[in-house]
Amino acid sequence: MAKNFKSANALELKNALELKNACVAKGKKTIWSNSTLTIKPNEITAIIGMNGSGKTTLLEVMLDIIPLNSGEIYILDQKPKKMRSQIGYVPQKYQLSASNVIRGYDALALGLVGNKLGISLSNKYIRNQIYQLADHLQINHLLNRRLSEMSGGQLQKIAVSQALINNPKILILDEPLANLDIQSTNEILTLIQHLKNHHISIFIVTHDLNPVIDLIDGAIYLLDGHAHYLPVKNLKNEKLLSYLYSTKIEVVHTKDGAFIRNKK
Amino acid sequence: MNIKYINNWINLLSQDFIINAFLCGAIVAISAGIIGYFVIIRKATFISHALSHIGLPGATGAILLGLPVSSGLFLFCGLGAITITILGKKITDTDIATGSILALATGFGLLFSNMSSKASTTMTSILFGNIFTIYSIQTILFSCFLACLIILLIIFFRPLLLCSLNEDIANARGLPTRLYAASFMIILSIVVAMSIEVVGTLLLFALVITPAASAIAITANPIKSIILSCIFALTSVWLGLFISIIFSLPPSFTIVTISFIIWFIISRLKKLVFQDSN
Repeated sequence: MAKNFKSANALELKNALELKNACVAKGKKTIWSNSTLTIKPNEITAIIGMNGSGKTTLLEVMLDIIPLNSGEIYILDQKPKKMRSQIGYVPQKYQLSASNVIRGYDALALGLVGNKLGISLSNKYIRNQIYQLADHLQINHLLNRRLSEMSGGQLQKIAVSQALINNPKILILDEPLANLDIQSTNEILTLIQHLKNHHISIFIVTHDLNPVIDLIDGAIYLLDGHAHYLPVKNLKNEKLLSYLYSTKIEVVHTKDGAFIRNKK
Repeated sequence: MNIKYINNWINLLSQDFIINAFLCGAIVAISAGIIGYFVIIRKATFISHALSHIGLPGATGAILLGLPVSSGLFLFCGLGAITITILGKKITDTDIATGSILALATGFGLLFSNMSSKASTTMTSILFGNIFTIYSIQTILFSCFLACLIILLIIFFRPLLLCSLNEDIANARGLPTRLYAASFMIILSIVVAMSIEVVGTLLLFALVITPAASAIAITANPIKSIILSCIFALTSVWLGLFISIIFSLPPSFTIVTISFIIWFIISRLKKLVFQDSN
């Protein structure tokens, strides 16, 4: 028992994300530089910043789509290239690519085996994994529906399920709440909240901090060409947020939680 | 207009060139049925249409130079595919650029055809296809290609499907999406050139796109879609050929008509079913 506890502790020590003096450039343009931060595992972290501040670039570095120019990046103490199979990724444009050609089932099957050679999308292993996850996330009714026949919220659930089906240790959501109505937003937030207890580190790129502010443990904010990290209690800082969004912001605390708004 | 019933059609069916037409038609239909599915899911319908027009100056130019028509056809389709791949998203996202290039290519096709006396007679068979003029050596080559296509499909189906449906996720999973896109374009150009021999550049859509569209209207299961797409393409070609022989009609006409009828019935039925379920 003591031994088990120790090994569990050892797992806990692996940081979800670590940047050490990281710099990244696209062509000759430096996107952000000299960034050092550490994100603890099994936390929910928002990635915020103005348009063009390099949020997507940070994702691309984490997913090993583009390399760092200098410095180091570690995901669960490993180079990103080795960690691809441990990362579930929900792209921002998922809704655009949703068409009438596949069903929810096929989307999940592609999440599971889309990077593996072969033709089968319905062997016993694939079916088992899909039905198990669908039961767990209560999306059974979507499996036989075409993506084009789903609502924005249902589609986002499929997108998240597609990313989760490999049991990743890291989940990256790029603007998961964009274009969703209030009910769907709440459903996706409930889903993310539910995942929090399942040993997974979640990164949420968002332009709007409010819907996630009571959900997150902290945020990576991209400001002045650097990536910084703050835990959420320090993030609710009017001066910082005003600077970050280049507009006067106030933090309002209510009995249901905090939210930020433009100061009148 | 005189549609006449050919009494001795049974005798015709045993002719070598007719048997070859059925064989080659089947091979091209199945190739088109497979690739058509990916053309639709990759939203490349307009590009496939453009490729068929790019083949035209190749075919008429080949005649001008005294080369086999097919060589020019395949060369230009292939070069067109490579150009479109290199230009990448810049061109594929703009229908205007693609459309302008296909108009230009068709123009050059006309020019080359005017420059040679022999070419203008061949022009019609390139524009509208002529399945009865296909050589048996072509049938053998095409069947080798189809065999390769099926093997490639069995090996690469899952990653190609992911790359086609969601490039962002495929990139994140470490798949070489650009390599898949380029390979797809090359294979598409070969199928387009093959299909031109059967139905011609102008009617290509009905053989490559329409059967796949009909299949997708029926099922969203990818593998079933591909199989159905092949069945519809094959039905169009064989039934079309058969009717064209019996009634002495141009085969390209009967093939595209059947392809259209299948699509029309399915999309009508689907609408009815859809309205009922609401």
